[in-house]
Amino acid sequence: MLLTLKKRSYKLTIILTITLGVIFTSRVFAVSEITEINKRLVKTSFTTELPSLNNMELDQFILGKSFFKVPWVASPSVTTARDGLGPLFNANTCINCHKQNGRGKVFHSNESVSRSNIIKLSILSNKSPKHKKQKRLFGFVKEPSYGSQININGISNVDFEAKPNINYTKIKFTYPDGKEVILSKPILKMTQLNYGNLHEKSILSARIAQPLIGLGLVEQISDEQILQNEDILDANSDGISGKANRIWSKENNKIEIGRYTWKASISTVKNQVANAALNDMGLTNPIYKIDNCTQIQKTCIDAPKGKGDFDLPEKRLEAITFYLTHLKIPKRKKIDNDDEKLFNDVGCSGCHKANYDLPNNQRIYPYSDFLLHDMGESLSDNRKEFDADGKEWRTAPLWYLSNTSSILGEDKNYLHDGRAKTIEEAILWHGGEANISKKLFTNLSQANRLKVINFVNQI
Amino acid sequence: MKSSKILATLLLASFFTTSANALGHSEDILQTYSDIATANYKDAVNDVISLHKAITEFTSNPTINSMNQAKAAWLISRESYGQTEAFRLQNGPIDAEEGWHVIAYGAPEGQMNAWPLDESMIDYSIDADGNRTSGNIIDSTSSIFNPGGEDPVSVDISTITMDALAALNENGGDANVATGFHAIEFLLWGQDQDYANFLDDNVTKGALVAGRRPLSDYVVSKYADRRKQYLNAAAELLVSDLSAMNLAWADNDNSNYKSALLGINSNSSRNIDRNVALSQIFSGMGVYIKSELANERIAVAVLTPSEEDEHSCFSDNTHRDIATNYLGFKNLLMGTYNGMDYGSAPIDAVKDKSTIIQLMSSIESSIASIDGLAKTSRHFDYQIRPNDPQVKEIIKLKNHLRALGDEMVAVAVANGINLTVSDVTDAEETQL
Repeated sequence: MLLTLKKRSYKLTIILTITLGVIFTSRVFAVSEITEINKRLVKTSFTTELPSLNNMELDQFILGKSFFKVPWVASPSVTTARDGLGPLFNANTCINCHKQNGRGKVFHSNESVSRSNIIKLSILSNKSPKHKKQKRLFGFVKEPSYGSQININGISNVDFEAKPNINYTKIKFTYPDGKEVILSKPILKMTQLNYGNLHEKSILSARIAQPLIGLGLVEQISDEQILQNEDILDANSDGISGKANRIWSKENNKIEIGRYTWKASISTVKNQVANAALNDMGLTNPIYKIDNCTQIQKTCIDAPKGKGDFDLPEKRLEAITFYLTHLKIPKRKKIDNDDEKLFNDVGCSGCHKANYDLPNNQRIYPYSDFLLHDMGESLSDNRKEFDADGKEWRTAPLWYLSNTSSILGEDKNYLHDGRAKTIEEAILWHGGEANISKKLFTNLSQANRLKVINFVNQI
Repeated sequence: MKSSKILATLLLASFFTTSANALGHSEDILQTYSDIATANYKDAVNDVISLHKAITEFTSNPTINSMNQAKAAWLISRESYGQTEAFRLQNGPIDAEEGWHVIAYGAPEGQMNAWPLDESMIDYSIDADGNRTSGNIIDSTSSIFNPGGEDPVSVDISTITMDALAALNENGGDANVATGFHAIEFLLWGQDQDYANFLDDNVTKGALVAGRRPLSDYVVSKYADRRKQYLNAAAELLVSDLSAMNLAWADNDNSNYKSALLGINSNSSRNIDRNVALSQIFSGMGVYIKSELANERIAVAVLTPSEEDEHSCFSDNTHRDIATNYLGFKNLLMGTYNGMDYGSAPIDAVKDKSTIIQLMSSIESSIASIDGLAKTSRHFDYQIRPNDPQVKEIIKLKNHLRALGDEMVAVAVANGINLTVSDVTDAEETQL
């Protein structure tokens, strides 16, 4: 909606401008105008509809976009269309975490952990039938007092669950040519735990919000196209296995191939919207029907509920899904062939698979195989999700990485918990199946390393 | 009252718009555009000065009559302000994100016209369970108010001042609107709402009933003085913000934004390249009519459907918002304002005007229909009810506004500026 421009303290400046005349003489306006236009292009690049939409489709898009952006409020409220936030929640709009549909970030401007950096929660399975059932249906075992993630907010009278605190230990990495890079390994702690201590076997995993670009296109990739790259036992002995995550779909009540989220634990956009609506905003919906209060959270259970059957009814869930699956992707940048050759030679393309042909003959370039890979101990979060174990992660699609980092401005962050400040750091965190490639990369000359990084920025 | 006002504005407009073109009729489309801005903002600031005066009179002597006078002044001020909204989204002083003109003029759009707002932050309202809400800026028991939401900052509200309201606006998130036209609207009209998806209009019943705030809120209420303080401070801030716009567009000032747009600012680094200026204007006009008016203001309201998504939901003045927002766009396209021709206009260079004229004629007939019904039969919030026959007309209007927005590409090309449809689509107004 409308108008949310940052206010600046301007009254004093007006007076100064009037009395002292010109203050800002050094700006070359033409340049700043061009920057303005570029900034607008970045801004609009992820939020514009496909040009092919007709008026009725555009209506669905606009409606979904509105529900994506407008704040939800706690029930009972003085509004009805967006009533039902919480009782426990992380954010009151989708766009809070997916700014301009880009990626989330680790910290908020004031150094507190950003709400777009969600703390997922689970416990080690004790192999009991109850735990086994949870693993089959959710992919993990919920923490008994707090559930499946830490909600940093509650509506009035409902205490929030806890607040995360993140510190870093510094690790020095030295290239064979002697150049050093300092890597930061996060140490996650929970503070202000309002519902008692965490279970002793708790597993915490910080996850920044995913960029939302190309979701509808990824959905059109067939399961066969994904499965043909599987090599679970590494039969071709290239050191890369690759395994699809076979997940339980709550939407369709059957096992499906996961392709969204950091561990590929969700199979469709609609299911992911519904999942985020419940877990991040506390909005019940036709797929996730019950508020996420645990048995000990009495105020959460007793909190007033919204008026309808669901906070986010089917039509509105469909509208948000339509919005996210009908976003136009930006034009591909011009690719430097030499840079791309290096990217391939080093072996990045072993997992970051360049392109797919869709049923409508469109060729897309997500640079991912959408499979799980062992990324090594240092990236492990110990959290299992269906077939993904602690060290396994979905190959992150690399398309439009530079656009999503432009949205973040100066505070760039990569990888699931945003620990890497640069693409170089992200590469250096790769381990496990990526070790051979990483070694080839680190053995490159500095100029060639820059070319690989440059290529990633072109994708 | 309204017609005499329009006459007065016409006289004022013809009297003051002399500037660089002594005849008030320019042959340069940028000159015409900026002369309309000068005249339109001058009217807008005069109208909010009148609003401020009416509010001062109402709060110093609250009677039914002075309350009605204040409401009338608000409605009149929306007529000129609504037209100025066409200057948005063009990197101009009203809402640019950065540049010297943001620092100099404050880009006050969000402070003047933010909506939808969470009225329960400002004053009491009746919630969906029929209970009266409390814990707002007006009835706060503490001198420090925390608006809640994302990273809210507490503000001292022991006295409700212009600065306190400015500090509260959008503090903690988008819905936390404390200032501007719609905060004043709520304090004058009060809530107009239903809670049953249009099945039962149970707070202020009736198709022609807007909010009905009782006069007693300003007389016998325990919080009467707080409400008066709030109204006065909000009106004062509105005057201050629009005065800044007036300075930005004033004639005979070679250091302001108007002179920079026309390339005659004495500080040459501020002067805007003509092609950049025109391309920002054309694409901004397209985005405004398409993404803002057609989509955000009309489509969302009629598709949701929900009263809380209509623009002026307390006063039920949304039919005028639609009419004046469109008129503002038409002013710039045709080079006219208040019935006067200001000179060469973007439309002039378009060889085949038939598509644009047909769209405009359809749009104007839909707007007249919405406007007419709102005055005689049912307000906009009733016209968007799912089974209302008027829904079709509103949907047609929205579709034709979108098509007109796309026509800005042709208008730009005819004026030597290359734009594509994506340039006139969705500038993503929300910067969170």
